[in-house]
Amino acid sequence: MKIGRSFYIRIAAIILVILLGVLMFFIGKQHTILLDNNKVGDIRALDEVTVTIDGVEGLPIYSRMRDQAIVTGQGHKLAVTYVDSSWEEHTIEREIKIPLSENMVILYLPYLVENPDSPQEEWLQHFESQAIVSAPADDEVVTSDDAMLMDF
Amino acid sequence: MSGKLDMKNKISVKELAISNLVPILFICICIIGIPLSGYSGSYILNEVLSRLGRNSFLVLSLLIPVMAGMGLNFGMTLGAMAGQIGLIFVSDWNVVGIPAMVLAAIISTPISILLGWLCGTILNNAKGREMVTSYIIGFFMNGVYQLVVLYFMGSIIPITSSALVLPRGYGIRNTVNLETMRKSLDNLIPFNIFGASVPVATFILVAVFCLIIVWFRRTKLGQDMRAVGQDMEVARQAGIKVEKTRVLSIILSTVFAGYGMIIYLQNIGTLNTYNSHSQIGMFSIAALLVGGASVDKASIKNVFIGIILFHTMFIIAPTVGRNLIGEAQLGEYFRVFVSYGVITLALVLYEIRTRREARKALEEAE
Amino acid sequence: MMDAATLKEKSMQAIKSFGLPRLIITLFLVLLFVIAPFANVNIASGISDMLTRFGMNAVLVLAMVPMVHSGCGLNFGLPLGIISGLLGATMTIEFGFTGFSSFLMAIVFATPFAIVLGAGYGALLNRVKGGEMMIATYVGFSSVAFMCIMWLLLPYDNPTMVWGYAGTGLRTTISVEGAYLGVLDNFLRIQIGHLAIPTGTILFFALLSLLIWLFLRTKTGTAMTAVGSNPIFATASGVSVDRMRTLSVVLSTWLGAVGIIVYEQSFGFIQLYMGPFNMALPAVSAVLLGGASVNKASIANVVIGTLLFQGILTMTPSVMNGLIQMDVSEVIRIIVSNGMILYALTRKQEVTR
Repeated sequence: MKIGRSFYIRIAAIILVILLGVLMFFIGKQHTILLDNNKVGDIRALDEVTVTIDGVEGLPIYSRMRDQAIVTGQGHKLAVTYVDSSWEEHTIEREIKIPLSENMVILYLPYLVENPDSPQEEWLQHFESQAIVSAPADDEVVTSDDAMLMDF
Repeated sequence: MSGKLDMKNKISVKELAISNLVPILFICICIIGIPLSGYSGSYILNEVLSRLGRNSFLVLSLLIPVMAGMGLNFGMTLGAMAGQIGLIFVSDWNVVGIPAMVLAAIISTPISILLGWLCGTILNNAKGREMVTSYIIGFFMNGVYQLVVLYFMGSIIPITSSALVLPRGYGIRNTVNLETMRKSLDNLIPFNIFGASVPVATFILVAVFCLIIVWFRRTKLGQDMRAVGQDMEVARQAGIKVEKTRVLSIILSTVFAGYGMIIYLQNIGTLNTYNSHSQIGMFSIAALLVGGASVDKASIKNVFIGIILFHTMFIIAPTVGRNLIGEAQLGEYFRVFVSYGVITLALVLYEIRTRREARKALEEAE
Repeated sequence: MMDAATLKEKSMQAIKSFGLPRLIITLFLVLLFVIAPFANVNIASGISDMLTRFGMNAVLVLAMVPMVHSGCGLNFGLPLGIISGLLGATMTIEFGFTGFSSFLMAIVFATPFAIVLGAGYGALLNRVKGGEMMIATYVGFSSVAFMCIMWLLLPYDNPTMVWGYAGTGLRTTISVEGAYLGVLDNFLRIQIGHLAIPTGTILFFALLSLLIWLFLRTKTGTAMTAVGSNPIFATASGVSVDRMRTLSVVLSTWLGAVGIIVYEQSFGFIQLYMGPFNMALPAVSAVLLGGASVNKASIANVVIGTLLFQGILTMTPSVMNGLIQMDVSEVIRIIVSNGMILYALTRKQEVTR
């Protein structure tokens, strides 16, 4: 079998498409960030904290509360705004990079506020969701023939 | 002399009516039905636009095999299955939005190519009865699809999301939620007209596909396909690889049907794992035929006229049934009956015409 | 050396004439019976189930034969015959017949519908020679959808059949208990331990088969076969091709009507609306499994095919469940039945019909 120019072009095209697929995986991957305002070890929970991700401001999270943010892609701008004991407002801005394989991560806000310059791994960690997503209980699989009545 | 001419004219008008019987019938149904349904114009417009967006791609995918003389490709369900498999994977990986659609399309492509090649090869062994064979292939592959999705996924093929896998540990659930990509293409470029939202981005994709088809007709391969569609023996003598060309036409149709299915499901927002694909072929073919296409001739124009007419009927039928007889179910049965009836009528008209033409050619030869 | 080669060739020839798919499926069925005891499946009750389902379906499969004989191809339009049968079945209940007479009356009521619908269907198929199978499929589907509307509208009012709250519109499933449930199954029924044989149903099928067999040997019957195998020769010898084809379609439609009534007397319910929708394909694949092809089908094909097909259908779920706790029977059914049809449609020698 002769290997001509068109063969290489085809291989290149296939590789290009696969790369596009990988790229789509990176930019389209959805992650859930749990924003946790509970005490971490000795660090007390914050009274009130507002988290802004990529410029979208969330609702204030009071102490011992947990909120969640859903983002797509890995790199995000994080801004944490809180009020300290002397009623002064502070904002911590960080770039975060969520590992590709994670579906859900937890962000310990009090730890981040206490150690604003600590590495990301210390306050952004993998979270195993125990509660199953409330999927409908359709154990019985229907492969019925009434599909002809469906909409189109 | 002039009388003869008149006769000829009359016949051609009559023939024009017969050859366009299906669209004419449908226009009548719609004209009578719309006032009876009581729907507002903007509601119907909104629905038709949304359906035009989601179905055009699917119906357009039928054009290429018609060009190659292989009739209406009931095997487009194979492409739909491939598209659905792509969607199952992207939902499992938690990829969302437009990237998810692109990724699903990329995953579906090799599956579609494989299935299309298989389908085309089988059809080459069933020349002269491609339609009924492709129809059975659809059923057959549905069995294989069920085997893969219901037994292999989650056991042999890694699918981990508990929202997808049945509690028993393998097999995909009845419904896969595509909420994260719902209308992500339709609403990419928001635009409203008369209170109806227009899926601009989807239409752009459809337009691109139309251009591809127009361009494709002029390529060497497209010309070959038309030659094969006209007469296989003549094409063979002209040095065209008939079998290969036919297989290619089915592969292309299957791949595009897969993309069409992804576009269709992003509009719907849920995937009925075991049902979504099963009737897609039938409805798409019915829509194409309503637009005035036949087994051996189908154009882009037929696609759009067909979808508009067919879907207007589809939207109004249940309410018309309820308003007339007090039973919405009746309208639903009616639209199913019409869908099947249209295909039957179009197939019968086509067969009668082919036979008449064959007889005429025979008479002329004598 | 030479001998081995010819032996191999001969066995290949034998396999070819028997048909590889049929061989595989027969071996599969034998295998199922062999491993059945290890899966805690009682062979006797397995055979009983198989025979019961054979009786239920055999007449429907028999409905393929006349049309194939006259060259109309496989009767994908079987739902049309089934609809005639359903009309007969619902009418016999509407008029309150019971016992064996209700079974007989169902057939009597169904007959005129079968003749009229069959004649129309036959006339249509005569105008579309060469494209029969696809059109037959869609005639079947359209008629099922049309009857869905009619079941809602027809003026039935027997309370056992109509929806209770509305008083009109037939139910989706109607019990035939009190009418003709088991009239054939229980006639001369043989029961030895787990083994039960529905003698009456099998006798009834044998009777119909005999009638068809005799018919195919009459002058009309041979003419019909001639039309199927060589229409030009048939025309030359003065046989009206169209009339013979129409007759065969009427016959097939009527057998479909009787077939569904026999099916119901064993199954226990009349299934309306979408019920008949997918009944053609199993019957088509059963006759093909029995060795029929697009243009050749015999009574033997019907018997062998139905036994094999129903055998697979009854044995697979129980054996599979017993062995691997996984019920793949539905998938196997789909793949086997449609694979069989595909095999028949793609066999080279039949393309030049």
